Amino acid sequence: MNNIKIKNLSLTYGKKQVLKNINQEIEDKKITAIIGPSGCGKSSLLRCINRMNELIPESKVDGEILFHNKNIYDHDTDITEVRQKIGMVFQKANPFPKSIYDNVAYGLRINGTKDKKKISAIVERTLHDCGLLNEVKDRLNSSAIQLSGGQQQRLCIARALAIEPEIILMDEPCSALDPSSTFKIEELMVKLKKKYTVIIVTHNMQQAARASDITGFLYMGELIEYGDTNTLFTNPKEKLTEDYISGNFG
Amino acid sequence: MGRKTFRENMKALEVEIINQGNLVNTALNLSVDALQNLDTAKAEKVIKDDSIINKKRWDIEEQCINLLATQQPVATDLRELITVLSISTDLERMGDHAEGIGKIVIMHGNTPLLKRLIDIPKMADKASDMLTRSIDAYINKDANTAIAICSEDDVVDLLYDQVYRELLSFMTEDPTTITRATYLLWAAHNLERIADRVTNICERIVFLVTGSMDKVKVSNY
Repeated sequence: MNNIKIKNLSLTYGKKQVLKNINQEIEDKKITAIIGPSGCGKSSLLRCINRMNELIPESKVDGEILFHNKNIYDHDTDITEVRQKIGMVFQKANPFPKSIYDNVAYGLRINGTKDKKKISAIVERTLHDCGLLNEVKDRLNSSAIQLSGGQQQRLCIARALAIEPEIILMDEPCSALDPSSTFKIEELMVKLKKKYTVIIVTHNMQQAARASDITGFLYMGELIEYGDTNTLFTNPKEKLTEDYISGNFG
Repeated sequence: MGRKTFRENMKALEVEIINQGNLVNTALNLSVDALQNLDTAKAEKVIKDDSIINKKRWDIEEQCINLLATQQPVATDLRELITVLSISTDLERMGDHAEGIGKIVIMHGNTPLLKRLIDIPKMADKASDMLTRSIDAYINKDANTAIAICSEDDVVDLLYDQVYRELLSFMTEDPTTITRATYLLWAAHNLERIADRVTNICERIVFLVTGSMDKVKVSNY
């Protein structure tokens, strides 16, 4: 199944073309990594998938992104619903200046959930799913800001999961983390793919190789190669991919 | 360590493989020479020098492990490193086969050979030639030559069959020849295995160049 289908997607910021005619179906319940040199458009592509680019002035999207066969760029699409179903985790952990509990409960409450038992159950489940529950169960009412960087990032993932998305977009989620926290996030990603489709942008190729099932290589706004991660890292089809992953440029 | 240093390391490993290949080829030819002439001094040299081939293998492996751990190569770089590891292991085992022939010479002692050796030296020549060309094919990243060499293994297998049948007839006709015939059969078997290991090297070369081993034809024997 491919619930996300990208069709003829182009993106411009003013006069600058950032993405050029991207066509790709994203496999459900798999981890897809997008790699490429700085400025190649990988974060822009990720942000297109839940319409975050609209927050950037002068951005213009052409083409379609189908989610359950409906174009998320149609005029009648509810953006809030799109961003609820397609959650996002950013490069730098951005917990709200609230308690650990309230961070995870936040999305539920603003979406109208009032049942405290239900909220508590979801907070507990998502913190558990993110491997954080044992580390924070005695201080759920403490400020989230006091958590370590790796814990903050897993909290942000828990916050995204609480509103039951189908897709999780991760924009370089480990770039500010130490190796131990990075491995925890990667293990979490592998666990998450049983329930969710994960798309991760990373400039760390070893992370893409370690953690993803499918890898796409983006270069100057074009999707150069896309396929099974093992194949792409052992026997890429395109010379450009080979040169990039071997560190010959970028 | 940048890409330039990685390439330099890989070049150094290529030289190491050439050296190890030369050591094995020398051991192979010397062991059969020792067998033909029942020259125990040469046989002992083959046995003693096998430790040099073994050490070379461990040195190469250590360098490969260091590069894997520190450089995390991918794509062609990764296949190249895996190929070096694999070739070095096969060369080390070939050295063991040559050493095996050396030990047979020692066991044979002063007892005259059962017969003048004809096919066994032919097997050795063929295996040695295949080995030399396979190392060249590795250096030149030449998959076509590697595939061609693989098919030549049949020649060595046919010679081995011939040696086997001939020695069997000796043993059937005169059971007192069994010990000497068995020595020669073991020697021939070692040579047959050496040629098989050359095909392993060739398969790795095809993998290195193409990323798959689909094109390698399985031997008929």
